[in-house]
Amino acid sequence: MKPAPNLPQQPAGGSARGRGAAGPGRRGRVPKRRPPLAIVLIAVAVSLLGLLPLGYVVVTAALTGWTELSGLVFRPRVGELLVNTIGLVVVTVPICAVVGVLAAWLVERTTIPGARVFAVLLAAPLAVPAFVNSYGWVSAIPSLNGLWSGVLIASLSYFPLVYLPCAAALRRLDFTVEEAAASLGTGPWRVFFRVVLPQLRLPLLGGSLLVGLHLLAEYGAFAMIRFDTFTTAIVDQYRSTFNGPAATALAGVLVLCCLFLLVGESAGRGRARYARIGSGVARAARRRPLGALTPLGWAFLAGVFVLSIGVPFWSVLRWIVAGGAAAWADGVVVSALAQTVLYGAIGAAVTCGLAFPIAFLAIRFPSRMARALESINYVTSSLPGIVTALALVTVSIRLVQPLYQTAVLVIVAYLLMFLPRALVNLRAGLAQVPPGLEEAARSLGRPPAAAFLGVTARFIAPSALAGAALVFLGIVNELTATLLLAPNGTRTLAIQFWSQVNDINYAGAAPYALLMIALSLPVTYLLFAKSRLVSAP
Amino acid sequence: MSAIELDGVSKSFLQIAVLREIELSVPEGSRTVVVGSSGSGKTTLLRLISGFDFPDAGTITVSGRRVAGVGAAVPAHQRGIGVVAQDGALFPHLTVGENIAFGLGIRKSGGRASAVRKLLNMVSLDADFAPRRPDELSGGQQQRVALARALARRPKVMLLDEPFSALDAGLRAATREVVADTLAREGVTTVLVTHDQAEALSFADQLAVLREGRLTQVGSPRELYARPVDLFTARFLGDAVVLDATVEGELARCALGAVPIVPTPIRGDASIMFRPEQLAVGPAEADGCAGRVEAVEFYGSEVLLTIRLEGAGDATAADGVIRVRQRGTSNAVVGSRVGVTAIGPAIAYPREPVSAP
Repeated sequence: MKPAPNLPQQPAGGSARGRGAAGPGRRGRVPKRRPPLAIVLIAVAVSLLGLLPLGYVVVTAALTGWTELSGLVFRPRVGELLVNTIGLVVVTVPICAVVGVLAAWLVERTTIPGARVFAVLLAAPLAVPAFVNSYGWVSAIPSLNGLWSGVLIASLSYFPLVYLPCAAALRRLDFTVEEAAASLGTGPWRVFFRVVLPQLRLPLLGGSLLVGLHLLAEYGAFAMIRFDTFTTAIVDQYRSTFNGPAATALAGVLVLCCLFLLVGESAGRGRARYARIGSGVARAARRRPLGALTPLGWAFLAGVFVLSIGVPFWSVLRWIVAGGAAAWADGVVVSALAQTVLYGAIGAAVTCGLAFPIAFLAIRFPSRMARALESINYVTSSLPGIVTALALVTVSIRLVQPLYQTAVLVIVAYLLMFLPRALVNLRAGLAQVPPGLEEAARSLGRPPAAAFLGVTARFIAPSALAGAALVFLGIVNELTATLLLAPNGTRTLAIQFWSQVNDINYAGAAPYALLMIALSLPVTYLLFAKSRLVSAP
Repeated sequence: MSAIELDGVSKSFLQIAVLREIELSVPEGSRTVVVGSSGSGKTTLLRLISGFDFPDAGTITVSGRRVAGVGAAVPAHQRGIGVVAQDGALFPHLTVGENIAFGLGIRKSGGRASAVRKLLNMVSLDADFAPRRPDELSGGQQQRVALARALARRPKVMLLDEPFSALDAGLRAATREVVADTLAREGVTTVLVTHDQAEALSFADQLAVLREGRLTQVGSPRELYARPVDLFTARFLGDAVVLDATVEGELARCALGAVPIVPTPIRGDASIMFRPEQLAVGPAEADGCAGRVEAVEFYGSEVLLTIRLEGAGDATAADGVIRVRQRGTSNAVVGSRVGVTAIGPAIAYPREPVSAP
C-alpha cells in the first residue's frame, strides 16, 4: 500500500508546464482552488468546540491561581490516586500487550485447532462494557477489590484493543521477509523476536495507547470494585462538592497523564515506515504447527475466552434467571432500550455529519490548517469522558444556562468523545474515491454538488455507516459522561444498569447488561470483519 | 559432484499436482536457470530447495547432504542456502547495513561495519548506503542489497526467484550483470527461476524448461534454442517459423521447397521449425522460393516481415504465411515480391493438429 500522495499544491517544479505555457504577462501561478466556505466554517466550529475540554482545564487552573492549585494538587490523596492510576497503567498495559500479541500470533500463524473461531471470539470482549465485565466478576467473586482485581478486569476487557490491530498486521506482513530471515540461518523463535515483533511495533504501540487511555478514563469498572483512580475520584468529588476546584485540579492531573501517554506513543513510533517494500500481492503466511505445545496454546486461548467472555456472560445469565420475569415486567427496560437507541442514532448521525467537513478538507484540500483541525479532535477524544463532561457542565452553567441538563449537551459530549471514530472511517472512504470520477460527472454536465452526491457520496456510504456504527457502539456503552450530563429522569441502558447496581439489585441490572451486550455484538463483529480487510485504514 | 540433486520430486497443493517427478542435477559452480510460464511450478521448485516447503515424494540433496525426502526434513534456517526473493524481501524495520548484517551474527562492535562495507562493495554499492532504509532505495538497489545479505553467510548455493522481473528494462540488464558477475566471482552455485526466455538464455549455463509441473528439457541454452524437444518449447524459447512439410529422408518438402532437416525418425507428414534468423530474404530468383510481402513492422534495429509464400498449395491457409526477422536496413516494402532461402537445417516434429491462424 502506498501512502496517498497528499502533497499540497506542489509548485510545478522543473516540469515543462509552468514556464513555456504562461506568457510573460502571467506569473505562471495556478489559481488556488478554494474549499466551500460552509464546509470550512463547520470544520473550524467543530474543532473549536473540541478545544473546550482542554481549554476548560487550562483556564480554570489559571483562574484558580497557583497557591490554591498547588494546595489541591500536592496532597497525600492525589499521591495515593497517582500511585493507583500509574500502577494500574504500568501493570495492565504490558499484560494486554503480551496477551494480545500472543493471541494474535496463535490465531493467525499456527495450526492450532479452532484458530478461525478463536479469531472472532477473542474480539468479543469489546462488546462487553468494562463496567459490565466488572459486575460479572464481582458477582462471581464478591471479595474482589484493589489494584490486582482492577488489573484482572481491565486486562480482560481491553486486551482486544491490542489483539485486533496486531492480528490484522500479522495477516498483512510480507511473509517472504520471514522466509528471508530463515534462509539467513535464523530459527523460528528468533525470527519472531527479530523480524515479526519489530514489525508489529506500530499496532502494538497504538493498541497499548488505547488501553492506557481507557484505563485512565474508566469509571464504572473500578468504582464497582472500590478501586480509586483519578476518574473515580473526580466523579466522587463532583458528587460531594459538585464542581469545585478540587475536581478540576484532579482533572488537570488526569489530562497531564493522558498527554504523557500520547506523547510517549508518538515518540515510540519514531519516523520509521514499515510499509511493505515490494510490489504485488504478498504470499500468504504459512501456519506453523505447535507440536507438543498445542494443548498449552489451546488452553491459553480458551482460558482467555472463558475469563473475558464466559465469566461476565455466566453472571449476567445467572442474574437473569434469578430475577425471572419480574426484572423485565415494569416496562422500564423497553423504554431504556428505546432511549439508548435514540441517543445512539442521533449521536451517530450528528457525529458523522459534523466529522464530514473535517474529513473532506483533510482529503481534498490538504493543508497545515486541515491537519491541525483534524489533530485537535484526536486529542480531545483521547481525554477521559469525565473531563469533557466537567467542561460541558461548567461552560453550560456559566455561559449557556438553557443548555444545562438537556439532551443537546449529552449529544455534544458524544460528539467530542467519539468524533475520531467517524472521522477515521470517512477519511479512509473519501481517500478511496478517485476524484476523476467526480470530475467525469461534472464534465458530463452535473453541477459540483450534484456530482458529489451522485458519485462520491455513494462511494463513501459504506465507510460512513461503519463510522456511525462505531459511534453508536461508543454511545451505548458510555456511562461516565452520561451520568454527569443527562437530564434528570434520563434512563438509558447504562444509567439504569448503574442505578440498579448501586442499589445492590444485581438481578435488576442484568436485563440492561444483556441488552447492552446484544446491541454491541453486531458492531463488534463489524469491527472484527473490517480489521480483516487488507485495505482497512 | 552436483551441488543440488533432485530425484523424483513431486508436490501438490490441495490435490492439484504442482510438480511431478522432477529430476534435476545442478553442477557445482554452475548457473542453472529454470524457465517456465507463470503457474508452471517454478517458484514451488525453489521453495522446496530452499526448505520453505517440503516435497510429497522424492529426495533433495544439497552438497551431498540429503535435506528432504525419506528420513530427512532439514528446515530452511539449517540449510545454508542463500535466497533472493522476487522483490528482495528486505526487512522494512532495519537499515540496509542491519539487513546485510542480519545473518552475520556479529555484534555492532566486532567488525560488522567493515563486513557490511565489503559486502556492499561486492554488489557494486557505495558504503554510504549502509545507514539508509530499504524504502529509500530503488528496486535495483534493493535487489543488490538482498543479494549482499544472502552472500553474507557465504552460501554454497544461491536461489534467485525472478529477482529482476520487478525492475524496468534498463535496470534489469544492469542488475543482472552485477548479480551474475558477483556470483561467478564468489563461485556460488546458482539456480534462477524466471518466465523471461531472453533472461533465461543469457544467464544460464544449464537451462531447464518447466511445463505444467514437468521438466520437459534440460541442457545448454544453445542446445535448447536450436534443438527444442517439442514445438511448445520451441515457441517458448523464442520466435519460431513453423511450416507443414513432408519428410523424405534428410529433406523435407515444404512451401520453401526441399530443405535439409536434422536427422529424424519421422517420415511423411510433419511440421518443421525454423528460427526466424534462419530465413534470409533477398531478390526473387527464378528457381528459388518466392513470396509477397504483406506487412512490414519496423523496430529500428530489425524489421519483421510477414510474407505469403507462392509455393503454398492453398493461398488462404495459415501455413502459407511466415514471419521473418531481418536487419533494420532491409528495404522490403509491402507488396514487393521477394525470395526466401533457408540457412541451416530445420527441425521436424510430428504434424501439429490444425492450428488457429
